[in-house]
Amino acid sequence: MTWTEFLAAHADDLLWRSGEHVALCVATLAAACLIALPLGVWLTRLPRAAGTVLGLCSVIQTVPSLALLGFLMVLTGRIGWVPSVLALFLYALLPILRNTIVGLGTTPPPVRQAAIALGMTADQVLWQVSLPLAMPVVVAGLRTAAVWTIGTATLCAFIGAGGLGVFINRGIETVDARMVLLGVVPAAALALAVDALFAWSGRRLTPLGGT
Amino acid sequence: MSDRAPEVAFAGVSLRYPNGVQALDNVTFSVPAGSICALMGGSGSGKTTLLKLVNRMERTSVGEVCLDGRPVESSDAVALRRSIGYVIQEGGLFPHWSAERNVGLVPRLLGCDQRTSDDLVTGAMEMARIPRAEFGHRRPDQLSGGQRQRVAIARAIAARPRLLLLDEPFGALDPAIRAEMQEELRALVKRLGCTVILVTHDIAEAFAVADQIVLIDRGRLVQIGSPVEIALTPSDAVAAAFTAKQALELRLRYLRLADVALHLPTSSGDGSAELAGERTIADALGALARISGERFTVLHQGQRLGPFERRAVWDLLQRGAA
Repeated sequence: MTWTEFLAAHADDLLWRSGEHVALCVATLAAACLIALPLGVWLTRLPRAAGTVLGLCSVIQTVPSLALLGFLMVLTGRIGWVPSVLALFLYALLPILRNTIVGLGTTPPPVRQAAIALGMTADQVLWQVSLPLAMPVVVAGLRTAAVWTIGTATLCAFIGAGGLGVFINRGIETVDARMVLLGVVPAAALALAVDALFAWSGRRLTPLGGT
Repeated sequence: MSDRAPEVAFAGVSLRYPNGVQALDNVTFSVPAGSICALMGGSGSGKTTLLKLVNRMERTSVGEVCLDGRPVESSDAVALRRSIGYVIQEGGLFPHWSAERNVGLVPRLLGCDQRTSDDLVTGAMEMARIPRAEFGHRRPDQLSGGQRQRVAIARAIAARPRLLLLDEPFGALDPAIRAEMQEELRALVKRLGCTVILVTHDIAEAFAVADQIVLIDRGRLVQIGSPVEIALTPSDAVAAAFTAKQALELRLRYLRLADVALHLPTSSGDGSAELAGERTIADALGALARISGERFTVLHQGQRLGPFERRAVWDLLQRGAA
């Protein structure tokens, strides 16, 4: 079978698995943003708690992906999406949380001081000054989380969550390099595309960018 | 705050931080309504802390700060701050906002409608000599250091506060621009009729701008007085040390003939030259040197003072100066 014939034979399957992969990543990142962004904002007011939470997230990062998936499968008593999204979500927390906290901490002290001295409330300082200035760093965190998630999501096929990892698994089982590549290449392309998208939006959201 | 400039009174103000550092120790003085007061001291002297007590960025441990007799602690902190202009070193402009948006901050916070706010911004930028038409759309990173400070001053005066707090406003500017800005600032606030408290570590800046200078050392008030009093009659060695290095220069550049006339012995001869009391000492000595005048009289507020010996001016200048 030539490459063309191989691709034609798996076109429908590839499209379906790609869709699964994207859905898995979008669900994970949406959940992670929903939790980590507000948590990061809130933690900037509690510096000591922030250290503890960041430490905890770092610990999660050190657990090998496959082990975490297996562990969550046992813990939830289920296979497929639930343990997969949960594991990817836990991995995505750290970069988003850390960059939100770091980004909000980079407001130049004279700017912050002037904002308060001229009569802005704490909320006004946060929404009108600190957050806009932190945006490039926050977006960089999302970018890291997105790229990691797309890569790590290939492992979720091991616990029945589908996605592009299915081809990789199948390729490994049948010792078929072409089948492995059918999973790897689209996953890598997706990661690169998303990386470029975030880089672009990061520049767009940079308050000091442009001219 | 009322429509007139307030008197600012510090009554027995002390501040001790939780770590035991005594930032301020029983400081009492007042800034008359409509005057410019310079808080002068080295770094860590407590001058900035003293300034921040006025808009409640810091709180006293003992004593109180009053505006026209009303303790600042009795006002709502946010409302109080919106009624007081504030400029810090490096400006503290919001880097992601245009100059005009920065200047419009306080009018917007106060809920002014778009048109009122617009007029206030245009007026303030005009007064700070950073015309809106040319600079309004630029972001702070597209302005020079001096232009940024003008925007910061425009932002501080936009809502027409009656009290201005300036924390080393020109500290980051090069000397030529600094001198120009000091002169303009003095003219501007006199025109607006604000009470001004200015923090500086530069004694020449205090002399150039202030009506009253407060010398602070390690949290204690050392001396309070006009530039003439600070220059010619230091209260003790600590006060003298503030002006020691630049004593002669300060006296030449910032003291006016009328200021020192009271300290000069009258001569017996006749005064050949007549000099206006408004002239600085440097200027007057220059004029006398050009006409080789040894004696002169001073014309001040319709009165003729003197005659005085030129040599006596030099003697006075060098008194106590290194």
